[in-house]
Amino acid sequence: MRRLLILTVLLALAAGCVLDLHSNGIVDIFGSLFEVLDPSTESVQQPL
Amino acid sequence: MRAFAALLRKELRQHGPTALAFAGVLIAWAIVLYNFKERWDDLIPPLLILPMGFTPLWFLWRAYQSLRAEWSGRHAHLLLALPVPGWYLTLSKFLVLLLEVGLYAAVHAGAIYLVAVHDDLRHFSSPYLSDSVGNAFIRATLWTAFRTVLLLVPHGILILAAAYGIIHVSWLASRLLPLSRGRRIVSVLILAGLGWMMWRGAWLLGLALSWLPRIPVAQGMWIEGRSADALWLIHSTVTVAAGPVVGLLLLTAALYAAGSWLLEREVEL
Repeated sequence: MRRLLILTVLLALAAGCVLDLHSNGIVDIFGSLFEVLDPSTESVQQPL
Repeated sequence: MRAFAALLRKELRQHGPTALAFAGVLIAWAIVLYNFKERWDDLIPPLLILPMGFTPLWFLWRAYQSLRAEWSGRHAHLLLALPVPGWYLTLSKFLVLLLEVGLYAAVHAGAIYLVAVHDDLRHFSSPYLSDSVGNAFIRATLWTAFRTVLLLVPHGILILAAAYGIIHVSWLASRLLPLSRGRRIVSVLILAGLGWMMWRGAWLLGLALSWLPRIPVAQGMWIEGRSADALWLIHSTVTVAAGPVVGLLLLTAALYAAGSWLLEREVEL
């Protein structure tokens, strides 16, 4: 019974993945994490 | 701890010779490229990068094989009977795999240095910089590149640990099916689900932990200017928010705990 429950939870994640892909699209899913990561560059100039 | 060391030695004995043989092939490939770099001028960058592209794929394949081989080789009953926590097994396998990938990465880095950087540095000359300033600049640039590698290594290890955890748990969970039929498709579905959970989880935790300070991930240094009188040294640092990184770290730890629990309590031969 417990094994069935574990498998159901894990397969529900797969279903969540499919639903998310269907409603938001792969570009949005990938982009969202990079948006939160928010990479930025800080530069310091020094005369030679 | 002695049991953990024994497991590590077992993994090293199992995979060490293959890893050393592959590293030898990569070194031979670098030597060939170094000797033919004048003749194959344009082909050198893709030929240099080609084996690097296979390393992540090799890591994923080996992560999958590391558990499968125990079951197909019928050693699994020995492993499951050992009086050690499940995470000993997972971590020992991951560490040896990390060592293997680290060895390939070091060989790749050496190959890039030898083929693409070494000779250019020896013959470096600039109309704008005196030899002493030019040499100091090169040393500083190499040091910056080295620091970037040091900054990126922990992030790389975290991503590999997450990927290993996903493959490990999906394979173990597929063993919960009573029949061997359908295990492969269930394993692939769980793999996709866990991959998605980690990605979205890191995103959500990143939003929740947005108050954490930013962390540097790469540094660069170069010279800009139009004439010898107006040169600028530009020192630049790329930073990212720490939230998603810490989020991924927490999720990976949870995944390893789940894998350990499955291995100790649920999985059978």
